[in-house]
Amino acid sequence: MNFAVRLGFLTAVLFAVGVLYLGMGSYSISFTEILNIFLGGGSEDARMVILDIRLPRLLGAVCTGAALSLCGAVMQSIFNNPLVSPDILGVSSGAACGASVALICGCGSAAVFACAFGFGISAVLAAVLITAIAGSEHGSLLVLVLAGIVVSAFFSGIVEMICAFNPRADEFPSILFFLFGSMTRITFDDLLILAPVLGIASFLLWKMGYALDVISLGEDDAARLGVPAVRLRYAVIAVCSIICGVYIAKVGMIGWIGLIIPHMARMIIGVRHRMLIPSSMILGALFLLGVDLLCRNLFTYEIPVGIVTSLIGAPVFVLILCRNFGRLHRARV
Amino acid sequence: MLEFKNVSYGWKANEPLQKGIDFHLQRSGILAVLGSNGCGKSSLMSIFTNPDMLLGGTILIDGRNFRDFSGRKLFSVMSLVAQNSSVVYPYTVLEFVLTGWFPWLGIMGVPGKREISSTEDVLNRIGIGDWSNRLITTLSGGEFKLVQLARAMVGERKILILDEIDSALDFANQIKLTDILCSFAEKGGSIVLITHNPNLPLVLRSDALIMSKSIPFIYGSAEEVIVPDILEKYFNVRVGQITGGDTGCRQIMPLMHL
Repeated sequence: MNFAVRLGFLTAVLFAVGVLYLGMGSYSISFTEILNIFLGGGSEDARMVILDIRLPRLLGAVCTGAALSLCGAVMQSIFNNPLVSPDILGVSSGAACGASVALICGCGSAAVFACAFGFGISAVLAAVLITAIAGSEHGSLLVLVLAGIVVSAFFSGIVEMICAFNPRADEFPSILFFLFGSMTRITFDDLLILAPVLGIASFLLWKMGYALDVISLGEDDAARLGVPAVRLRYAVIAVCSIICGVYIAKVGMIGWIGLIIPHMARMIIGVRHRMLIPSSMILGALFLLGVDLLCRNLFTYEIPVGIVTSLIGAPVFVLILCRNFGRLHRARV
Repeated sequence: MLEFKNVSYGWKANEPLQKGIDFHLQRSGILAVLGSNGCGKSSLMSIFTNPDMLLGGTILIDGRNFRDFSGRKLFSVMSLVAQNSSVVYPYTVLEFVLTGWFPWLGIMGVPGKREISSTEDVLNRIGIGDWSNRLITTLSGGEFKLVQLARAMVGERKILILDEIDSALDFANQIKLTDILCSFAEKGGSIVLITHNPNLPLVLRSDALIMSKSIPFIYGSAEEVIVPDILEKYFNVRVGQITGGDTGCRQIMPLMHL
């Protein structure tokens, strides 16, 4: 089955899950009524549920899943490491810290978003600065990863301290909401920022797909082909950090998608980035949409989506490791 | 084609690995570089990706200082094959070799039918045309060396710098390698071949440059340089030589204590 057919199949499955997503919930809506609503008809209640609640949330889940998977795929390539996730440089922990600080200061949602984004980007800059101070060009990728771990731990520590000593206990649920991730607060106004950021970045990264193929063979190898490897590395990190910063600032911390979805895409579609990027995005969108559908419908109360992505993501990753890691990922000396 | 003029190089500014390296590689020329482990053979190749390693002297490519070339232009003229390389992602052989076109295609480019067709020709010339759909993560070390050689030869580059390309090849592929290299040179290409095999420059009738950590390098034709006295001086081992076969070619052999 060639690439276009496989991608078309995945898109069709995404569309089907999307229809299910719109129809299922505490207020069930049939497929016919959904169609009617999009054609301008339908009852007032159903229109409100679909257009004001579920549709923006659906689009938010699609964009978020696509964004995190895109960043995961690309970061795994530039770091030449299949165990890298998009928050390797601390953008998640930084954003969580920013959101927590803004919440205990009693800030509104716009300020919380801005703080989360600002802290997330600052965390990445801190990791890069540590690398510049500590590392030479030789082995600087390893130093960058270690710096990211250090920065993540630092900002996570601040979040834990805020949770432990926060005098404003009524902010605690909001902080938890951010730490666990959720699609509940996405509106169409948010999508005006989220969608263009994803659209522009994904197009740029897709156009660079061939260069990403080259750099995924290792920076030394890429340099021997004339690739400006270090500049390209930091350009891609900048793009991915902005994407992750924007999305995490809005929906909170949702883990595992950026780590496991690119592996699934490589298994199903292939490793070339011009195929890997669109397939990772569609698979990521499908995964998060499916998880959010579960979160809304599994129990009478809603489970934060980040909890379910971790519960599903970890065993799925173990399966991928057991099935394919030895075959797919072998060092050649 | 490639000229080193009084070149000193090293990873640290005050600790040159080698000093005063001088050689002139003409079109269709082959230079074999030999030396003890750690004397700087592979580092000689690293100068082109790490120009700060050049501590003194000049490196000219077709009369132009190599620093005047942009990265892509430099690697459209020359190709480097490293001694060690690790691959993580399971590209096919064809996809891997297609990455060799980067200097021409650039960051936003993508290989088209012309590049794919030309790449398949190179794979066929090397005798691995039926490997196109094999995954590089399933290749043996020697097989991967042949694929790296194919990538080095796409795009009609004029200079190949190959670091121990023969080290993992089986006997038949080593002979095939000499045919491939001779064919490349006959078409006007130049080759710098870093090797541990002193017989390779004799078979290729190339120039030879032997390095050491403790004594100055020596450079000349293989016939002049690859002789028992000089090899014993540079490697501190006893060697002998035999002459024979249809071509009357000399071969070096170690005199081992049994």
